[in-house]
Amino acid sequence: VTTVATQDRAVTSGAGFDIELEILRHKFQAIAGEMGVVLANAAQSPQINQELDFAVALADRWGGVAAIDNPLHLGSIARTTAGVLEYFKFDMKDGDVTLVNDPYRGGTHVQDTTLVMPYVLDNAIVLYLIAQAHLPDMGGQIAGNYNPIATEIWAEGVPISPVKIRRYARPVRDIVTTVLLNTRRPDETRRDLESLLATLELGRRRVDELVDVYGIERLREALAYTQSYAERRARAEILSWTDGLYEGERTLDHDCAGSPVTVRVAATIALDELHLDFSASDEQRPSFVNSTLSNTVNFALLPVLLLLGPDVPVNSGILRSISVRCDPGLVTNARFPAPVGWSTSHCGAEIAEATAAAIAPASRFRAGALTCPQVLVMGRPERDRHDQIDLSLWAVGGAAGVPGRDGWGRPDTWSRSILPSIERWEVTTGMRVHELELVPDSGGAGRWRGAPGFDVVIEVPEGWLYTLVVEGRDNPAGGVAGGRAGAPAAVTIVAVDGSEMDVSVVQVEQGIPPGRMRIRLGGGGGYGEPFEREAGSVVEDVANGLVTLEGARRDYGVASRDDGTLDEEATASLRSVSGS
Amino acid sequence: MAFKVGIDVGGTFTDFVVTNGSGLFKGKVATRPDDEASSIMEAIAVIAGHYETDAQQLLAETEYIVLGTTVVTNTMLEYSGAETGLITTKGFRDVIELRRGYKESLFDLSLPAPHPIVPRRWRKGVTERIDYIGNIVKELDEEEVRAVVGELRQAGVESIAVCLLFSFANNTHERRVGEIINEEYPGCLVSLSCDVLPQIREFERVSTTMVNAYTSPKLGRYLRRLEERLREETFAGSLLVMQSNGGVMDVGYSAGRGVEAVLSGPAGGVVAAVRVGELSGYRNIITADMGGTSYDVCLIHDGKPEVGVDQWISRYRVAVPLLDVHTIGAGGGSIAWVDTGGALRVGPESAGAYPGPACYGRGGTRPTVTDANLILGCMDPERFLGGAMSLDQDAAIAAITAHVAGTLGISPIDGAVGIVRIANNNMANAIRFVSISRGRDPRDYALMAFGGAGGIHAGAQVGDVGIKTILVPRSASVLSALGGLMSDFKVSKIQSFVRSSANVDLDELNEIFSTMQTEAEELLQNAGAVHGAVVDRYLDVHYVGQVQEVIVPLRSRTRRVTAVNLARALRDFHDLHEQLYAFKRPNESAEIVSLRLELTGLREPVATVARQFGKESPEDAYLGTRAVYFEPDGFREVPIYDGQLLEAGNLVSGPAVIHEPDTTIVVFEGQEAVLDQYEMYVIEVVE
Repeated sequence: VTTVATQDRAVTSGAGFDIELEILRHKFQAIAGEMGVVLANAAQSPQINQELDFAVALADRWGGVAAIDNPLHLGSIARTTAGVLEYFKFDMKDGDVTLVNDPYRGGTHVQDTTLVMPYVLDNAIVLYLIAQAHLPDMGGQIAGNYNPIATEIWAEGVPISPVKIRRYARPVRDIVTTVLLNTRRPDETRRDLESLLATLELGRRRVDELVDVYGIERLREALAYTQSYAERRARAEILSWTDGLYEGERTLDHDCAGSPVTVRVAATIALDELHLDFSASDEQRPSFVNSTLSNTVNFALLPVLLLLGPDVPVNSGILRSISVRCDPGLVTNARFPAPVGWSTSHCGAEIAEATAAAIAPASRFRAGALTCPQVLVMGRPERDRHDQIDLSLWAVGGAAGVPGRDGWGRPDTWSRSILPSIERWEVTTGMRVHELELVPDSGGAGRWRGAPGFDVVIEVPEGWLYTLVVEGRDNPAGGVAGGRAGAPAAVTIVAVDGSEMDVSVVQVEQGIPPGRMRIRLGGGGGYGEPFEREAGSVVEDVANGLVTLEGARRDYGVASRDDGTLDEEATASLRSVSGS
Repeated sequence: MAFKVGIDVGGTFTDFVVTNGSGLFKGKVATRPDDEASSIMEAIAVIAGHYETDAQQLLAETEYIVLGTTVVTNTMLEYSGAETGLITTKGFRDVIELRRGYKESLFDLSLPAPHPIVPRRWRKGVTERIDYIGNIVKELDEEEVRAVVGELRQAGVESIAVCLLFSFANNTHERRVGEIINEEYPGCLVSLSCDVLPQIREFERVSTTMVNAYTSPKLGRYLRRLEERLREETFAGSLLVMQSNGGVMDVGYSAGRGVEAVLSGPAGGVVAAVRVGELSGYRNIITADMGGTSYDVCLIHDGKPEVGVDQWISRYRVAVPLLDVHTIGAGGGSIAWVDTGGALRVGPESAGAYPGPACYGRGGTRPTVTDANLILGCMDPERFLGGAMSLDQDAAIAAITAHVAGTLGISPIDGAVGIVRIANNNMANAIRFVSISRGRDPRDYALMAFGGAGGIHAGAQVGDVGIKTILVPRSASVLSALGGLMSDFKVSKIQSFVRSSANVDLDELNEIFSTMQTEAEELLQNAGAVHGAVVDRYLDVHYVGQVQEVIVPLRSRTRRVTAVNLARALRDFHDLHEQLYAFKRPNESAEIVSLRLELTGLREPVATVARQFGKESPEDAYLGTRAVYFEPDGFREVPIYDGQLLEAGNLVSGPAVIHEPDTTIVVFEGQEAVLDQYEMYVIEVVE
């Protein structure tokens, strides 16, 4: 692959332009998209059908991802596929399906399990179909595999190296039995695996149809074209950045063992290539906030994908212009057998934020925080080790403001999942949700305001044990260019008498005092000086209860009259005196 | 002599179709922006002129007018609805803002928040709570409701949506809030979620109810004013409105049900497609309406259009049953461009009607699909819109050269070929979406193309998806208006009823169905339906844990559902599930989520005339030849026919082009077009 040095060349290298390849590119994407939709609709577990915590992809015969339905998993899907291909070199046959969940072989955490199936025609592999999903349980100390105080991966769950769960299109019973033996939820896991296999079959049928119409050779060319097209788009984008060496860092409140964790990245931008080196990050920790290199790639790509925007296809072509490295033994490239269970939240978020901070000055990246600090809230009845309910599904933080618009909803790249319906939740769990409402003054103040976070109040059953982690109290979602940080996260118990008590930031399988649990995630960061925010917009925010009267004066220097209209004089004086 | 009139008000043209028992008269007038009523009166005047009478006389003799309207769609697109408030359970006023976390794009930071059709300050929570079984766990605080209504009234709100948690299980509180609004603020329009969509899942319900509250006042005012105006002109017949479910209803019903008219126009086209398709002998059809900016596709299986319940309109979720029309941004006006990766792209940006394609000569300089079609010879520059407008070929070539061919280093002709292929592929993908991705094989369907440019592209698309037959109705350009004449009355009811399939109380189920049917019958009676009714029942079913339901027909020969009927439907569920999702679990029990009932009040069918087949040769319509580009050979001199002169039984072998006044049909090599007895071009594909 040649490096394209100028924007013009990036465009003209498309000469010899072949419309059929372009059409096939869209067809690959449509197939991945359809597989994803069918998987979500067919699956019976909330991790797949609501959280949409899965990815399906098509890869060429060398493992290069040509199309993926979930861009957030590009790094891990590409690396997992490469790992499986290497492991089963010369031993991938028609009718085989492999399974792997080892985070240290391209994965993220043990829950994310990947199936790879070769598509074979005339004894030659044409491409691979891949389906990855978060399974409900893979053994370990705590159901659901989130164990804040795990010091080794086995305390989180059972890692599985690549194995064949199908050979000659038939199930390999001994292997499947072993996999199902190592989960607390064998029935659901079996169903999820069936759904994944059905998804791969659907992909196979769709590829059959393409082969019928276009033939294998064209398909192969198109798999290559699709990636080189994405590569051109990515290189054109990076070329528009200012060359140089940039640094970024971001700190996580704590590692569940009492110490903060800092992720640091050095970004080198040279012409149309981006090199990210995380080797200055903190040492790995004896807790589940470590990240494997694959997970680090997933998150390092986030700001780049935002800069590329929704129009650029996400596939391995992008990875040709971006390299990610990190010395082993660090929190951003943990060494086996360190635990890594929560890295898909933290320190994944810190990796994305540090990268964004590094490339922002070089590019037209003008967003505030891409993520917001998360909480983990898992609960189960004391007598039942299997029935773990994830209450953090309800935690909703705010998106950052960006130039031209206020933040709204959840952080963009984290908005793939579908939040539960309150009514369905009550029908299925019997747990009542008492409130789900925006928190005033929680959006970071700024010329463009961050979105407020939500309060959710849930009636929690007595006699349950909870596993909890709260991040974001010390380091809430940051503001940019003078914008303020969003409000911090908190998990609070509201007792029957109305008194409130914060829960400790880390607890594992312990009871909590009776009452209602309030989960609050922070707001998004603001962008730009709050005093430059249009006073009319602040007055509007006050009328809508998103900013309090006091907050308007304090954060924005805006005063209102008793009837709610803008007090221009008072505002002018507020803004002139304490103008930041 | 009684006239029956169908009128479809579109963005550019107001189409009409009239019959007085002998043949159809069709035509169009320009739509006046923001004044549908005047466009309609203009259409009436044209119709009167045709029958050599005046508007008053015509209206006096008109039995009914069926109206397809864009008022609701436009209200949502422009966010120009009523000042609307929301009353909901305390603590949940932000459900609509949270949207279950949904964002249209994960990677588009410039996407702004959806316009709030109800600003947060007018979303009010009131103390009350009902649990999932329907028990009242906290009484409604009526004083609080009164206070809140007072505030909304004070603020100038003219329409209030009410959506309380679990009102589908027990609507006592919601009804009471409705009564209090009527007492405190008579004249305010009230939309209760238990009327609009008594279905589990609060976000979907509140969004649908809010859209109804937001759009109904405008629709209601418009319909009542129009009816008044027609009555003044001595109209004594009934004014009916096309609904998104493919039925029609009276003004009394429609005025308060804006949300059910969001697809009023497209629904008419689909209904007409069902009827004219059936006349020509086709019950399995994929309709493809290609306009200037969009391409609308809908699948009709065994004479019934698919119904969808998962649509969004203008970024608001609308969960009432709509004909499942899938829309992509690909039309004649879609703009072609080259992206930074060197790939040719078509749409979604459109040149619209102004400036329109470069060849319109209205100042447009960017190339569109229409420009490509023109320089490939598919269109006749002197015959556009029946010759009312001539097209500028040089402008088309210049635009393609400047924006596509030059950048890619290819000839303008190759650029045009590329544009058409990309557009065809986008459209073929839409066809695949409504068929293959829902477990239907497109080879079992005929493709019915309508809209101005549908007939140009259909012949090229069918190869891609394996379709064997193309249908192009002669009335292609006024099909939506025609649909109005052919639609039945229809009321769709839904009621959530969450039960394990193993544990259904049949008496309870029948009681609910019976209530739904009684309510629907009353509505039909009010609407003036007299010719008998057909009831269809359905269950929404899924496997435990799934978030999406499969709609399963529940067949019963009587008013009662028997144990056998129910068992049969539940068995069918597994097969339908397999068809949609490629697997089933017949040994697992399923969960019923909702009951649906559709009551269709039949209307007297419009008489259709069958024409005798004449001779096979189309020579009388032969106009000469023209160079038209066909892949892979390039330009060929092919015969051109004047569609107006073709007669039933004439057979046109491809390659050839047929020009109807407002639509063009390209017949490809290996295809044969026959005009059948019912004014339908039936194009058979050999390979």
